[in-house]
Amino acid sequence: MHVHRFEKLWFGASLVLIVAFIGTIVYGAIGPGVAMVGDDGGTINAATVADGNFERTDNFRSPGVYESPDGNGVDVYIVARQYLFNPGTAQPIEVPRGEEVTFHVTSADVTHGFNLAGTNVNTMVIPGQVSQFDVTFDETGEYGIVCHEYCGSGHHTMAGQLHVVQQSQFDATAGGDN
Amino acid sequence: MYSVHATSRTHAEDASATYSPPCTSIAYAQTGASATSEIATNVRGVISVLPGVLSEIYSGQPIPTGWEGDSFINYVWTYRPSMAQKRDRRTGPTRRRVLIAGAAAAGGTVLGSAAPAAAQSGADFDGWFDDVSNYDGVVDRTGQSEVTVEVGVENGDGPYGFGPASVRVDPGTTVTWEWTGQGGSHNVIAEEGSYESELVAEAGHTFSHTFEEAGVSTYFCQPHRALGMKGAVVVGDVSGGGGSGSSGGGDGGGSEAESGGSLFVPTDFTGWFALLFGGIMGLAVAGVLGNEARIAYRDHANAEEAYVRDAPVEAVEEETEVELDEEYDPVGTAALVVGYFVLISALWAFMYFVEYIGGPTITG
Repeated sequence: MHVHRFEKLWFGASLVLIVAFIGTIVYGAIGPGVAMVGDDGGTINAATVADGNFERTDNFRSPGVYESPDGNGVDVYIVARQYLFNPGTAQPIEVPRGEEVTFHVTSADVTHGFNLAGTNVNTMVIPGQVSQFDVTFDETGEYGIVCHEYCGSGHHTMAGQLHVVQQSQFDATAGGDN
Repeated sequence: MYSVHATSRTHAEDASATYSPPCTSIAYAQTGASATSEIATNVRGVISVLPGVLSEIYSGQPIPTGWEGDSFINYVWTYRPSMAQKRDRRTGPTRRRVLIAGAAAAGGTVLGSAAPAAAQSGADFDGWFDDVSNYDGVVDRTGQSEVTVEVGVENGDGPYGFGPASVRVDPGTTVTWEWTGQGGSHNVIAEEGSYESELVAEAGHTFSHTFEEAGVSTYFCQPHRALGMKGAVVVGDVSGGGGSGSSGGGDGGGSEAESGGSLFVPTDFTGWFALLFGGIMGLAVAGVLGNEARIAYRDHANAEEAYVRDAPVEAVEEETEVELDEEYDPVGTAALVVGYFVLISALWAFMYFVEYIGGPTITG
């Protein structure tokens, strides 16, 4: 069978493209260690979150920033509700640079989104489900938090701030409700 | 001396007031809609009416009984909303008549038809309450040392309002905000920053601030500001200006001052900019299209002329030999293939490495 040489060229180019695409995904997973948000945060009763009875659950604490129980990094517990992040909206979340930050995000009412603008730190926030993921910030800076799931008439106002500070400046005054 | 107040919440509402002669002034107040409007009456020229401010329509000699024959003042209300308000409010002049009914009330001096508290509010909030649907005038709470405002009351779009949205208090009064527990977490933040509460959701939570100095203090709930959760505390006897204009006694015919041109004459910078920009763009588009049309017409005319000129001539032209291979340009096709390949690769690299892996990343 005769195949024109330009056809051959086109076949070759397509194959190179596909191999390159798969290669980048493999590299992202193995090299930088990019991961997806799974269900390992567990489930939670949305009514418990709405009422603030966090002592009744074992996989969520009162919203705030805590030193990790294992002494490694910090845990951030965030409740999203119409139309704010607690903490985040009324006061910025403060996390240390260079340490593993474990986010635990859940919703008190409807489905929200949680995205650090300009990064791929991005998850859905589903009532009844705790979204849990680890992020290590290598540089200090300020990130905007936005809700990217339409959650009601005030959705466009739902935003917050996350500040990455030097470890020396970080004061783990634990969160508590704000 | 003797006066009569008429009050209307919006321009579309009839307002009537009764008076008993001799009456020396007639004033009009608009308490609901928040844009400046104009009233042209048959007893005075055009006057502007600021929201919440009592404006005199007539002032002077006592109005005689049976004045104007039918005891009516005709007026035309021209409403001038801002660009934002135009979307959901009616525009254009509204013709209404204020009923100045007969002299039945014996010895009565001031007989307003609507709530005088609202009419006397006087404070001008500069559009602060434009998007606050539960704002219904300034509620007078003077004479009390402690005033309570509820946080999280229905404002027509959910429990995102302050109740009441605006209160008038004496200097030195302590205002206590009490959370209703509705609508999630709220806070109270002064616009100029002099007081700020925590962000809480529990019913029964309270926050207090004592207002010592006279003035208008506007405040809002941070998460729900865009939903119209805004309020104000008017301290002391603060009154907005306006209502004192004396453009002399207008005569009849003023009622017909319809000012129909107001629709096309902008009143603010945005309007002028839009007019200027739109005009220039319109002219530019018209110019380009006109030029194209002119060229097309000229070419068509030339072609027609040539056709007419050459038609009788039997043109015997040699058939040029066209080889198939000459239409097929291998270099061009290859360039196209390479170009697409480079484009797709570049987009993928940008998407994956610049957008996706840049910055902090969720790691497992």
